[in-house]
Amino acid sequence: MNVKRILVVDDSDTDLKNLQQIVLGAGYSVITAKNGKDAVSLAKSEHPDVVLLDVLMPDMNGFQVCRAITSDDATKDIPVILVSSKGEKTDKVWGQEQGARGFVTKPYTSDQILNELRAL
Amino acid sequence: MEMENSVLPHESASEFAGTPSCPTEPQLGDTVAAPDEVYSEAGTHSVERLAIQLGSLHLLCAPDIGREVILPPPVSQLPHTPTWLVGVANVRGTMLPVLDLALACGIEHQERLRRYVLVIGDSADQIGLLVDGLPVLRRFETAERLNNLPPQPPMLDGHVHDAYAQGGKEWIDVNIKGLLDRIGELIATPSH
Repeated sequence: MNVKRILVVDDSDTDLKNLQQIVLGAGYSVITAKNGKDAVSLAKSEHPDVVLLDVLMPDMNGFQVCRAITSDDATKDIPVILVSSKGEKTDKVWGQEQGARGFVTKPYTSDQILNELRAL
Repeated sequence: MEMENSVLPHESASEFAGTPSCPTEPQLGDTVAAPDEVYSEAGTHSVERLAIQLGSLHLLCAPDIGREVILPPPVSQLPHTPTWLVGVANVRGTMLPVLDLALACGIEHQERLRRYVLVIGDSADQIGLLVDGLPVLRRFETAERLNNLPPQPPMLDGHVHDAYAQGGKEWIDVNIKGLLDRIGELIATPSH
């Protein structure tokens, strides 16, 4: 898969900036969102190649955002990778059920993020 | 990347590798829709539902109702409440009432399955349901729809709108939000 543009979603400024720097440094272009509602909206309007999505967010959490993206005809082909401090096996299975293609547990290394992107 | 016909469709580079696949629980791979399948409820081709198990009872609810699934957290019991209100848990700072819907329906839990809590609702108003095994998405064809609703616990009266037969089991499609509203009213009554 030829990934060029990535939607990065995290309600934490620090985590958002960190993820943004990792993918920008690897040559991808980035769109950002700080909440689930904006993420779903941007997925529809911008149609990024991949979504890197935090799970623990207020209002719509990452699982719900993932489900919204992967169950919508307009966005269901966009791979979603969940990035979360929730690293229980239950979370990974539930993430898969919601349509996620990958799962990275925080704290992560840049290699882990980039490997997930390259594996698509 | 293609979705493979396996229990865990995305195992390769992801942390998804090693996720649990207890043979006694519903399996993921046999229920996750292929990427090219389109959910088309209006066309009655098929419907997708979130399937949960409570003992011998197999319930279906809206596919997007689940907020997350967690292992049963420690709870604080509340006095003068029904026994099926297990208690209130603190989940990352949010107070989460945990309900044992099986107990409310007079059904024994399926002991061979691990118990989980399915969290539903929005961020300000969440509730946790004790379920047996991991909830999974299942797809039902029109031909699997039952003409007559199977027997159901009185607690579900008025909240069942369909039923399906699949895998040798009868699946009862419930309006879970309506059911929870009713349960909320029951908790509020002082007779318990």
